[in-house]
Amino acid sequence: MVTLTQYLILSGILFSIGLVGVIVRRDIIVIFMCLEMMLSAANLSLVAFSRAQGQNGLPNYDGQVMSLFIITIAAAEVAIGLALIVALYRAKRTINTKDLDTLKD
Amino acid sequence: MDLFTSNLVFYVFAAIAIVFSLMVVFMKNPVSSAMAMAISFGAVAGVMFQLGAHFMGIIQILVYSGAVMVLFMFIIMLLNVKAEKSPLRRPMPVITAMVIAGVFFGQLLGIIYSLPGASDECNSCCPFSQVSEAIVDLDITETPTGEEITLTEISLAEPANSIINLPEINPQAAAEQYPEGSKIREELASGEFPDTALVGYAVFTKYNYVLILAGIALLVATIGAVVLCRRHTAK
Repeated sequence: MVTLTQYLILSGILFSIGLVGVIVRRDIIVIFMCLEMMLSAANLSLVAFSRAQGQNGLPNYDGQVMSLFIITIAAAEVAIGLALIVALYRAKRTINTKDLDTLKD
Repeated sequence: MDLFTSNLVFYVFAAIAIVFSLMVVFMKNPVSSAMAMAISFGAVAGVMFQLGAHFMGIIQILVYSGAVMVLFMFIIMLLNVKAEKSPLRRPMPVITAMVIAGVFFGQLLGIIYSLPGASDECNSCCPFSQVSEAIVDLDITETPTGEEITLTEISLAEPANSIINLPEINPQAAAEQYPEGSKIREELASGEFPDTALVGYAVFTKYNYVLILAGIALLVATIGAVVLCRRHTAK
């Protein structure tokens, strides 16, 4: 029987890989993808807790509804974020984070 | 044993998810990153199916591997993104990131293994059983407000309930919680597991206002995306 611990560890591994990606990559689109991966890992742990906290033979649906709303907000975030990236590309002609240092000066 | 709930499904999909997530981080070409991402999300959805959360798994596939990935592909092809140098060529950031993520993951493991029932050694140090021990050790007799504490009443001496083992899904036992004569109740009583209907029941009763707020958030995001992408015509 797979226990809650294993689901949480899987979710933690996926979140950590996403974190590595956010730090390592220079391409803003891939950074954004890694952010989505971190959100999806959090969703997985919420669903696992929803199952573990279940009573009377059903999962506790509060956790699943919460992850449903996280997916909704993530979709909204993707729309806004990609619009920002397109606007950025129009202004700067680049999406490499190395070249985006205007605020440094 | 049912194929959907077997352990093998979990291990296979967990391995796929981890491998393809690593590919997202270490692929040079953003297009292959996006493709690996779609597969990784699909594998996470598989784990959700194995957990019995069928609706969330479907939503994960539809929204993440479907809509979000298509958006990413559109933007990658629209902006004509070049493949960058492999991140492995620059070892310094990779090592830094590994250390940061490793520390984070270590802390996470510490929390996971201090959950009630996660490991035998930690049962003594887990916060649930510590309260009674603290009361006995420190010889506390009254609360800050002056009320007497009697340990028999608190009875925290017994071990905390383990939440590590997932309870079996048993639809028939849950049928009484739902209104008499409703379709959910009928289906539960006949032994089916109407996951989508149950999520819908929670969303449209307990979380009704939150659902409306989520709808408003999506509307605002749509308007925001249109406004951000508009070309400024100087006048």
